[in-house]
Order: sequence, then C-alpha cells, then structure tokens
Amino acid sequence: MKNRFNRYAWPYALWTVVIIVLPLVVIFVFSFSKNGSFSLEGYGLFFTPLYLKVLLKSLELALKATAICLIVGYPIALLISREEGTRKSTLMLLLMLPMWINFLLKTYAWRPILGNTGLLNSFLEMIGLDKVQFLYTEGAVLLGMVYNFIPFMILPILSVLDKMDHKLIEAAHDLGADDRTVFLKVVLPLSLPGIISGISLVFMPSVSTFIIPIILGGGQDMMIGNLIERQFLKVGNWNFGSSISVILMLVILSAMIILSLFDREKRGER
Amino acid sequence: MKKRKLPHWLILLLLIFLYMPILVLITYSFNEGRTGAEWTGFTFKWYAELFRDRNILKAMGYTILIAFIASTVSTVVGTISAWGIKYMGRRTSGILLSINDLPLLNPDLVTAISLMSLYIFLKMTFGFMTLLLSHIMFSIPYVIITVLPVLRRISRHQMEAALDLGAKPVVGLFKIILPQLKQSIISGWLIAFTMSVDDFVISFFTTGSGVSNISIAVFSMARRGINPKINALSSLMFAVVIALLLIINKNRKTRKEDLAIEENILLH
Amino acid sequence: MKKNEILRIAGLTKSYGGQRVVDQISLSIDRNEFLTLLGPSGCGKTTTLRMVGGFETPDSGEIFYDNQIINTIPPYRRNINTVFQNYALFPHLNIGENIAFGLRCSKQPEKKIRSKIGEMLELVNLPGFEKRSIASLSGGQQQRIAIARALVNEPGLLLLDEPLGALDLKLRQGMQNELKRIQKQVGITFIYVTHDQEEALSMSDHIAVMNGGRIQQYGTPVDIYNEPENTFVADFIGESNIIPGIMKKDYQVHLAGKDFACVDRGFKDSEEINAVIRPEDIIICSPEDNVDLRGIVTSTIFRGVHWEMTVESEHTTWLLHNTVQASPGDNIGLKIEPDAIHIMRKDREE
Repeated sequence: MKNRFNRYAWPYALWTVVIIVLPLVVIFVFSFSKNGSFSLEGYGLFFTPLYLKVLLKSLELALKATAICLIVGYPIALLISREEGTRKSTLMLLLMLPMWINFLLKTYAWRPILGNTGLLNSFLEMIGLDKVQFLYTEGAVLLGMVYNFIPFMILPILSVLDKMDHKLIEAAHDLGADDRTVFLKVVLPLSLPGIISGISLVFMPSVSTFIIPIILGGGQDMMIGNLIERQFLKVGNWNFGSSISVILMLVILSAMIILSLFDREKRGER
Repeated sequence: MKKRKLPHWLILLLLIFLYMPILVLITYSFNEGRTGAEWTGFTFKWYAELFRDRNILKAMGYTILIAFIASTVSTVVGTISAWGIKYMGRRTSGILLSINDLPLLNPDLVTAISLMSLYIFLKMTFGFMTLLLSHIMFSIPYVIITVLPVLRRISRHQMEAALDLGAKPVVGLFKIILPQLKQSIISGWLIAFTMSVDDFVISFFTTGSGVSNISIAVFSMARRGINPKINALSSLMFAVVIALLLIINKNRKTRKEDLAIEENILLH
Repeated sequence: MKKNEILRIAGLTKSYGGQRVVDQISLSIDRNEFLTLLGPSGCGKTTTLRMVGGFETPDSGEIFYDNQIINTIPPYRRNINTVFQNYALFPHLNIGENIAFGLRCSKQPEKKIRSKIGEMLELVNLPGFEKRSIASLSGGQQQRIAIARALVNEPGLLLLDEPLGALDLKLRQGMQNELKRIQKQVGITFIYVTHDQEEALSMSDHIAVMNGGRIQQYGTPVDIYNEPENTFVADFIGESNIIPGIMKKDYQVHLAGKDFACVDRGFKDSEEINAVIRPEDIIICSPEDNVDLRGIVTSTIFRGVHWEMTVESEHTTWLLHNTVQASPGDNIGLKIEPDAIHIMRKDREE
C-alpha cells in the first residue's frame, strides 16, 4: 500500500528544489562572482570599516532587543501560565491578536506617538518639558523591534511552562526546596527550550529587519537588511547584495548553532 | 489562592504597550487635522479619500486576487502533497519536510532576495506572475504543516475499510479521507490567505512595475511621512482581522484548539 | 478439492525487508466454519489475514476463494469483508451511514438500504441507533457497528482482526458469545485473528496456532488443548508442565525419576520425548497414601477460581492448579493418571 501513494508528493519535492533550494544556491553563486566570473570582491568590499560597522550595529540592536524581550517576557509568561480558565485563554488571545495585524502598520503606528509633534512630545510640552527627538533614533528602532517581536518570546516560553508537569514543582517542594530554589533549579531549567526558541524567534527577524529602520530609524543604512535592500533594489549590485545576504545567513546560522549547542549541553546535564 | 479581579500589573502594562499604538492610530483616523497630536474634530474624510485613491484601490484588488489564487493553489497542491508525504518513508519525508520548513524559518528578507535572484537568474520579467509564484511558494508550507498532522492521525485502516466495503480508491478519497480533513484544509486555506494578504517583504522584492499590494502601497506612503489615509486603512484592516478571527473562532469547536493551531503555525 | 471448501491457501509467503513474516502457509476453510489464527504478536497471523482481505499481495503462493485465484484482486472487488482491529469506523458519518457505506458503493436502492440498516442493527442488538454519532458509542457498541457494517454486503467470508482486543475483560466475554451467535445466525464463514488463547478455544471450530510465520498446529480446540504437537503449542495454549522424559515402551514413560503409565504409543523404545501435564490434572493427596511423587509446596497464590501452587519434587518443579489449598512448606503427595500425560516428540531445534 505504502508505495502507491507517495508519488503524490514528488511533484512538490521537485518544486521545492526549484523554488526553495535553487534560489539559495543562486545567491551563493552570485555572492562569489562578478561579471560572470569568480570573484571575492563582494566579500572584500563588505569587510571594510564602513560596512563592518553596520553589521556590528545590527548585531547590537538585535541582541539588545532580544535581551529586553527575554527580561520582560519571561516574568509575563510565568504570570500568564499561573492564570486559569477563560481568563488565561483570553490573555493568550490578546497576546496573539497583534501578531495577525500587518507588521508594517504596527510599526507605522508608532510614528504619530514618537514624532516631533507627536503624542509623546505634546505630553512633554504640556507638563513643561523640552521636546525630545524620539523618532529617527536607534532607540525608536529598538522599540519597534521589541514591540513587534515580544509575543514571539512570550508564547514559546508560555507553551513550555504550560506543558510542565506541576507535580515536579510539588515534588521539589516536598523535598524541601523553597520557592526561589524551585524556580532556579526546576522551573527555569525546564523552560529552557522555550527560552531558546523565543530567543531565536526574536533575534532572527530583528537582525534581518529593514522595515523598522526605514520607518522608525529614518532610513539611513542603519542595519544589514537596509544594505541588502539597497544593493538589490536601488544600486542593482546583486553580487555585492548576495555577498551581504550570505553573511547575514551565516550570522543567523551561527546564532542557531550556538543556541542548539547550549540546548543540547543543558539536556545532556539532565 | 485568592482570586484577583485584574491580571498582574505587568501583564496590564504589556497589553497597554501592545494595543496603545493601534488605538492611537484608530483614533487619529477620525481626526480632522492632518498632522500632530491635536484633536481638531471628528471626520470620516480620510476614509472617503482612501476610497477615492486609485492606487490604493488597485493595490487592494491585487492583494485580494493574489491572496485568493495563491491560497487556493497552495491548498490544493499542499493537500495532495501532504497525502503523498504521509506515505513516504521516514527519511525521505524528513528531508522534504526540512526543505518545506526553510521558508518558515528563514527571515523573510532572505526568502525574498533568494526568489528575486532566482527570477533574475531565469531572466523572468518582474510583475504579476513573479509575485503570484512567490506567494504560492511561501503559502504551500503553511498548508502542509496544517494538513499533515491531521492526515497522519487518520488511521490507514480508514482507507482500507472503505476499499474493503467496495469503494474504489477515488471514492474512498472523496467520501472518507477528504471529509475528515475538511477542517484542516479550511484552516490551511485561511492561514495561507492571511499570510498572503499580510506579506510585505517578499512581495516588495518580487513584484514589478505597476503591480503592488496593500503593504507595498502603505510602505511607499509611510516612508514619505505621516499620512492620515494610512490611519484609516490600518483601522479598516484591523477591523477585518478581528472579524476574521471571530469567524474562525466561531467555526472551531473550542477556543483552546484554536489557540493551539495558531500557536503551532506562528511558532513553527 | 472438497465440495464444501470456501477458501484455500497454498504455500503463502510474504517478506518485509528480507524477513519472512509469513512462511509457506497452507490452510483450507469450509463454509460456515469459524477458524481462528492464534499466535503471539509478530507471528504472521495478521499479515495472513490482510493477504486474504486484499490489503497485501503475497510474494508467492496462492489464495483460492470459491476455487478462483484472488491473489491480485483489489479489496473492493472481493466478496470478503473485514472487521478491523480498532474498528476503523468513519467518524464523520453517523451509524446508519457507516453501515450503509458498502451498499451505497454498490448503488443499492434507497429503500433497500434503509431496511438493511434496520436489519443489521437488529442483528447486533442496537436497534434504533441509525442517527447516533460514532463518538457517542462505547467500545463494545462500536465493535457491534463494525461487525454490522462488514456484514451488510453479505460477504462469503468475514475477517476479524483482533476485534475484541480493545475491550475490557468482562465485555470481551460477553462479545465472544455475541460473535458466536451472530456467526450461527447469518451462516457466514469467519476467520478470526487473536493472541488470546481463551478466546480461540471457546469460539472456534478449528484453530491454526501460528509462530514465526508458520502454522505450528491445526485442529479442533479440544485437540489443540489436549494433544499439543510441540512445546510451543503446549506452552502457548493454557499453562502446562513440560517435562523431558524417555519413552520406555508403548504405554510406559519415564519422567521425573519415575515410570508412569500413559496412553501414548508408536514411539521408538527409549526415545527422548517431552511430556505435557496440565496443572489441573495433577491430583493432590496425603503423602502417606500410595502416591506417584512426594514434594514440598514452595509457593501458593490465590487465583480466584483456584489456587496456583508450585511444588518441588525430587527431580522436578511442578505447577499445580487446585481448588484445595496447600500452604508453603507442606509436604504433599502427587498423583498423575495415565490419560493426564500427553507425550510429544522432541522439537527438531532442541
């Protein structure tokens, strides 16, 4: 019986090779060529102080955003996991609802708040303070990242906490552990898979975003995503653009490898 | 444990943080003044202007058209492929599903430029077709990960029982297997549709002159500065999302199941 | 071929990944017979059934149904129906529509379908259940519906793959009687697959005990129980003491250090054999009486209807079932009647 039906998946298998695997290969080949012949120029160009600074800035902002999401998100996940019944599912729904709203619009929504004549500055003026430049700063970009991606940190942690066997906590208490010890030695280590998947779900889109810097950061080449966008859409230097993309993929890949190593190590200990 | 009336202040703070910008936007969409925080009077004029803007109307049309074709094609292809994957060996299906996961795991930007490079490589003209192809490309994986788990739960004895009772394989498929998949196929279609409507990055890189969707239209307005028409558009889209979610919720048996499916998709 | 034969299997073989799951099986089944394929899991009984049902194709050998080879005929063209292990009821159809499925496939008139559904529900003792959903049924009720659904096409042969496996003990016993009644009532040949020897013994006309893809013994339940042909069958069917011994001559066997009278003959003089003695056939008496063996009770477990005791005699450990209790440490005498001893040839591999 088995072999009669699996043929229905083969057309899709072929399709994935053409439209998922092949494009990645094309980028890779593009990144190593110039005018149709082998060249390292794209990479050479990238490793100059000008562009390296952008890479470092992207990493810095993405790491900061990830850290904030984790520090704020973990306690919230913990609090929600202790809720019960309809209230819990309502809270979860409220947490997920913004994820269904257009990313662009959610980001744009901050402009009337942060702008020079925006809500925040009007408020500052009202209480007699000087205006502050909120929009078009790194802080605004960071805010945009946290705002857009914090549900991606909370939800995986919450789902791990929910699946955790409550008897484990009772057992730990039974064995004489106080609340602090139970949290540090039982709850936290067990929720690590959720933390790890949360970190990757926040870090990845943060480090690769180009919309947030354009809308809230004022459109300078602030992040690596902007570089890529510009090379592909404005300059038309696909080779250089591909080189930057390969570097971006390497950054993401190494982040995922580091995370999975951490995960495995912890699991090995247990 | 004592039962508090309100959730913890930290949760409330987060909810305010999450919803305030959206609420501000909705409020401003009814504000007379063009810019600034000042409330200068209630109006519907931005909505009226929105529906007079030809570019936006055209973009809406493309958005719906692309989303409809892409989600329908993806649902058909994805369901048939999931059926095949169910009967594949563990290793082959493992490899195929990993590739299938790539567009879900890769940042949109990487998927977008990789598709763009492919179209350049194949010397295709950027426009409606490239846009549609891209949307089909990223929609099928969502359909597969929605349909496949349900399909795998259907015992192979179901098909065998149908054959045993005298049904030809085609009859078994339409009378026994597909009806049991109905819910997940509808979910898959809805998810593909939402993803397509919502997409900006991939569309932005793979479309050509004259063809844009809502997100692209919003982006080109937004990068120019504040425009109250965007506020009106956002409010409308927000209303549509909530309406859709309510409809989906009503159609599902329990909210818990619903949340589980959404969670599965979003966190995949 | 016999006139009354409905199914014949000849030299049936099937391998998966180089491993022979079914190995040269031959069987013949008469009309209206209740045949059970009995064996531990992995013995090839289900695979044999699936080949008869048309869900697997044999590597070699033939399946004759009504004297026609049906090896490659698809399931939907066989006049054979199956009751699946977990019933495989269609969850999206109500009970009436589940039963009607087969009739709708053969495009029967609506009126006939209606009356047939009623008739079938009557047969399985669930009248008036047409509109109920599958989910509302208990395990035992689902089982009945699965049988009704399979019988509605009036198959010549009904295959049942461990149909009672998912039910609890009490329900299982009730369903055994029920199944037997249904089979008598509709007069259809049943091939029944199970690993439960009690089920097999109480329901079957014939039993084929299987192990390692082969039929170990074929016979009536009484034959199989009383005269197992090898240690596997003796061990698998009921509990038994299997004692190695030597056949002194016809009607006399030496085992456990003593000579016993027995009812078997036709062995070579001094041939090494295995003797099977059922635990309930060993008689307990006082050690002072004229007994065959004396021993000490080492353990006693209450099993409900009887006591299960282990007794150490000089050469052997015995398993006893008796309604009389002896306590551990008691010295008791044992008596074994000649017809309680069943002699088997040594298995080849030993």
